[in-house]
Amino acid sequence: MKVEITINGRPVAGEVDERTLLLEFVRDVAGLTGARNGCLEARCGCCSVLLDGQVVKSCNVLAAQADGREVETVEGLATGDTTTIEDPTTEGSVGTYVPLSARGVDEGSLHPLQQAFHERGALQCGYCTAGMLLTLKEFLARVPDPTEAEVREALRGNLCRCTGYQSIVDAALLAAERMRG
Amino acid sequence: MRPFEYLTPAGLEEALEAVAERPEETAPIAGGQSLLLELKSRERAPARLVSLAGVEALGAVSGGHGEIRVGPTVTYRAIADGEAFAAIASRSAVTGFLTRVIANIADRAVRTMATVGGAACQAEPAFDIPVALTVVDAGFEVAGASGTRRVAAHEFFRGVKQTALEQGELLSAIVVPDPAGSWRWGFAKQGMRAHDAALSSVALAVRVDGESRVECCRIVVGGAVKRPSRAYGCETWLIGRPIGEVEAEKLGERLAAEVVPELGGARFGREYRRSLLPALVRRALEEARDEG
Repeated sequence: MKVEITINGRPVAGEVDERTLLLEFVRDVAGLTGARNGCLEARCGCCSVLLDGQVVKSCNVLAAQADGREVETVEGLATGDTTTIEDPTTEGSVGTYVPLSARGVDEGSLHPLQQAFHERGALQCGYCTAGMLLTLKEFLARVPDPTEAEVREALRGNLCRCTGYQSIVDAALLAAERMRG
Repeated sequence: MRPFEYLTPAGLEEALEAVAERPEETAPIAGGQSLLLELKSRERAPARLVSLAGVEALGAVSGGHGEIRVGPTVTYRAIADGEAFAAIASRSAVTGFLTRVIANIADRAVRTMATVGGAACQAEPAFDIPVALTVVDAGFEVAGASGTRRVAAHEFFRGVKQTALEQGELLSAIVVPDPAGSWRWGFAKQGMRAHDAALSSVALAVRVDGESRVECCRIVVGGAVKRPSRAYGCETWLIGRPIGEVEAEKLGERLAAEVVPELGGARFGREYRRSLLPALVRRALEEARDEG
């Protein structure tokens, strides 16, 4: 069947099998691999994207259900130019902190949440990060001045097995403060 | 997943025709939050999916004449955010109760897609919707080729993933009574993690008289049993007692003694699920006292 979804403002059309999940459409048809396949059963939240501005688990939505609608992925968060970091797991970079600016990334172009995640070290392996960012983006738009408990509640559907959540919660509160201006 | 055809009817009649055409091979899909899990695991393998997303009549909410009609494809998010019931003035505060229950189901991302009717038709014992709709004494309007019939909650939920829906029928509305009188509501559940479905759950509806004595009540247990189950013994015990002076511990002991858990696994057995009931009914009672 033919499915057309506007992803990060760009219409993406594809002739796909009816069984195609929104996650698969975003990754394989649109080529945006920020959303991750974690559990594939709507538990872990690594695949979270925004569908018409509301957060969904894209592994548990058919591409057909999103036909004609708008999707935002982590790739749509930063404005302006960003540089893809080549091979971040190669031996050379392990254990060596390189500021984003030294990698050619204009920090000013990052979304406040991304900037806060970077500053607070709110990720280790990074697998859950895209889902965390989109879940928090939708949450902060709705609740601009949250308490720590409210942030934790908002993240109940996003699992992180590295950080223990504290740095993610800190980053969310920092971003919220900056976004309030 | 097995291959399927994806149909997108625009109206209820068209949807009913699509479902009735090859009923044994067809599954309706609303938000798909339960169905897609079953398709992925191949627990179900329908050859046709009929999307109800484009059927506007199934997503409407209206109130009046002592009842509130909730369209089955209304999402948890629309209810949790206060949109769905915004124009409804509920005299029994039942909309507030349903909003509290639904805002605490699964997580935000699931609530965006999940629908009230979808959860009702799924009839999972662990789900909160069947328990909540039973305690509010909801009616279920079922549409089929020969017209519409109405089924009471205690007849709609038949067992694990079993409802009164016949092949080729669709749930067309959930009718929630909005009775006069001073009603108070409470719900409590316990799952493994915050976003997990319930191992056990307890819902409570109480109407009190002018002296705050219990005139009428319903206590419904979920999770541990195959379908939402009334605890009639405890209900009888509650009648006539002042709501503020009910000894929650005694009620809990009675509930644990009355309910016979039917479901349990290796990790969370029947006796464990039974042992949760006293704390859950105490919490439900506290909510009913505080929130009204």
